[in-house]
Amino acid sequence: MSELLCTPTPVTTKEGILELLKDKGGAQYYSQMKEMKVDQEALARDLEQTCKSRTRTWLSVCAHCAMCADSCFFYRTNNNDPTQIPSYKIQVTLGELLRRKGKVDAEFMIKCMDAAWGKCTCCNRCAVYCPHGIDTGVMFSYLRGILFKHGFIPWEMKIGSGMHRVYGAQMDVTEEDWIETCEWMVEEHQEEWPELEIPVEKENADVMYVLNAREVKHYPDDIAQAAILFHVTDTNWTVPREGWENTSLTMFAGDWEGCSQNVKRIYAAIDRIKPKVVVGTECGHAHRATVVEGPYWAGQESGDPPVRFMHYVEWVAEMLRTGKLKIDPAKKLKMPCTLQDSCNYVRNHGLGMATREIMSYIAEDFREMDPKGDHNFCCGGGGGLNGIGLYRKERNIGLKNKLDQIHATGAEMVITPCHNCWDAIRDMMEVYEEHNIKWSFLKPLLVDMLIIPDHIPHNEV
Amino acid sequence: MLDFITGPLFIISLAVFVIGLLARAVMYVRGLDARLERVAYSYHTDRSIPGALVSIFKWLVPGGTSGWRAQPVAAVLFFILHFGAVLIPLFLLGHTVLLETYVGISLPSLPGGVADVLAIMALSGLVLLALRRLSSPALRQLNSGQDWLILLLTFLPFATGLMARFDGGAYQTWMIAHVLSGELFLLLAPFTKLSHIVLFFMSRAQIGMDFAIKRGGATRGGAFPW
Amino acid sequence: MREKLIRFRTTLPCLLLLICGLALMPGAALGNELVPVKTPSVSKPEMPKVFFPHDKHVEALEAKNGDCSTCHNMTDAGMSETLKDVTSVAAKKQVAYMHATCTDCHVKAGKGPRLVDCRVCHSERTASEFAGKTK
Repeated sequence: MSELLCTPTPVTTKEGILELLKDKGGAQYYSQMKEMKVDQEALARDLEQTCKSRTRTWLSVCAHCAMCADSCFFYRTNNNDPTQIPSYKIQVTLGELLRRKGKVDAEFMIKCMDAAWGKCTCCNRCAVYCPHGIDTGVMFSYLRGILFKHGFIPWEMKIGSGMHRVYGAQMDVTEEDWIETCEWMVEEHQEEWPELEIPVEKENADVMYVLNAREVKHYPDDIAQAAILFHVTDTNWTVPREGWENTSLTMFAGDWEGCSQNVKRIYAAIDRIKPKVVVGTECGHAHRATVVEGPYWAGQESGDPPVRFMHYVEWVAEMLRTGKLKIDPAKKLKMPCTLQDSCNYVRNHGLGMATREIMSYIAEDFREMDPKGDHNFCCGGGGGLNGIGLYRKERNIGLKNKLDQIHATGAEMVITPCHNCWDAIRDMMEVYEEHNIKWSFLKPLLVDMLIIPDHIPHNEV
Repeated sequence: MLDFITGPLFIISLAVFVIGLLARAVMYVRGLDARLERVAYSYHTDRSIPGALVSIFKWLVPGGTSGWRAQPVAAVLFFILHFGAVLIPLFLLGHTVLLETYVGISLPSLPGGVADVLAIMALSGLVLLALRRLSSPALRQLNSGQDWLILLLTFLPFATGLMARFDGGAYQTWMIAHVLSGELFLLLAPFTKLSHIVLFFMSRAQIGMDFAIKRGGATRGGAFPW
Repeated sequence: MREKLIRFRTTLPCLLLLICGLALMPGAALGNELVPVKTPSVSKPEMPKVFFPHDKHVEALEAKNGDCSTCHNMTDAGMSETLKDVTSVAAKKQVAYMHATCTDCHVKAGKGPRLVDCRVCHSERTASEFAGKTK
């Protein structure tokens, strides 16, 4: 044990990230965490300064009616375990923290961490089912912020926060990597699409596109597909050189300063490029972090982003509606399909209409989940849970709820325009050995079914 | 003694109740922080006001929200208690007479039969809610002293009131017990979970505004579908 | 008339004694007259009619050297049968007038029902007992 890996200080260097990564699974990190001292005075001050009447009233006025219990997929999938009731989970953590005015030890903080990341994905569904409108998801997010400040966060969250602070992206993708990948994808697809291009830093473009570093590192075809779709719709688009990545593991980690840095980086790109509109890739939490919460982290008083900022599904819906993107009816999805409602942009940003509009163009046999739309359940892996090894078992139990929903629809294909939902669905099929259901983002399906406009040169390859 | 209980003590209890709850509401609003909570409270009033109102009113209607419909037992018990618990203190003939004499405000009064039904419903609601607290594994995990306190504080005025109303015997004893237990309710309301009398409206307005301003108000096409 | 065991000389005094005794019995005697309160008239009474113990009030007043004018106004046609100025108050305020006036005096006197003692005055038992006996 050479390095002090677990401290309240955020990771801000490449070396720091590498040191953490070397500690497989965070073994040293977690054992150091048990010995970490809690700065009780600072904690008390933090609570005093940042926890105001909204949260304090939520905690004190809760009628203990347990109506939030059944709204939570953790409660349902754990045999209605009363300790999984949202009210209980937050009362024994944040509630207790406030009652004790920060006079707690590492063991207590670790218990809070286990709840904040292992028993809640911040999907905010409980807020919808509480008569008082108490949003326990928001409270757990707030708790994450407190825990981050004091160093009690899961290993992968510490790394993720560091990644954003060092690389401006959730993974170690440099600006060079990013631009090179764009160029590579254009090259790869040039034969099929001779006029395909990915303009970088084109000022005054109509659309500025921002995406997820995963796509660069692991799924570059997604970038090519995005480019093709912009190409066939004659979109005057561009990508930024810096501020191209709009995900936010920092948001999952409770690293508000990191969140602010991310959003400001993107808004700075908007400032440079001056697009009419920004479009983000198919990622739920990216939208939440940059468009819903983001404006506040960037100091926008109105809570609005500086320019119209769409989630990918809004853009696709508009393209289909205006006829810029046409679907070949023969290629529509014939198999029974269902639709995953990503919490971060459906319940928390009302885009369920856009996704359904898209389904009407691309699927012949669309079956809704029950419940659907704003009332749908979390995929089971949101809020960063998909990536946290420490709570993998708990996550896998939680996945069952969404799998049951999918099964109930009889669908063979789940459309899931969200990276975390996509991962969760992939994992639940594996964990529960379900081999007959497919899942997909929108881009690959759209590229396969679109009618190429006459003026777009295209070669069959 | 009786003159004190029904005179100054009543006025004091009522004053503590009204001023206390008003203070809780004001303190709530003053404690909101647009920056910390990331909700631009003073913007987009064209959405936030309807959003706040829908958030409140849908929950005031039996079965008016998915939440109520998902929990029919809790919903029924809640409403049979609250119909009486709200209407009787305000519109019972015995109370409107007092209000008119002491405060000068003239409220309409409930027909006697209706009042009887509401009061019995309220009392049944309280008893059944208490039983629910004892028997549900979920609630047993959550129950606290405060929950029992407010059940008791609400039970006593209704029980003693009904005992007096049915005029079986010892009428004046039940009446004094009723007045005292009613005053206890009024005095303690601002300092217990009974403060939900105003805070329900505060927190519901807040979450309604949150969803209207920030979480989809601009894109959903209407208020959140509670 | 040796068989007449009950003679007139004993019967009459016994009868007189009986009549006086009966007259002094509570309920039907002069000292406990219950007067039905008819003003104000309430079209849809929610509470039982009030039967006012007039004699009790007369006794209490006399003990304090008061007289009828404490409660009754003198008019040209003689003493009114209603409580003070109730008839000159607007119809819908008359009940409130009765409540306030009666109980104010009870508070001052230190005894008698207060406004929380609704069913002491509005007694179901008394009202049904005297249902047929309204004057």
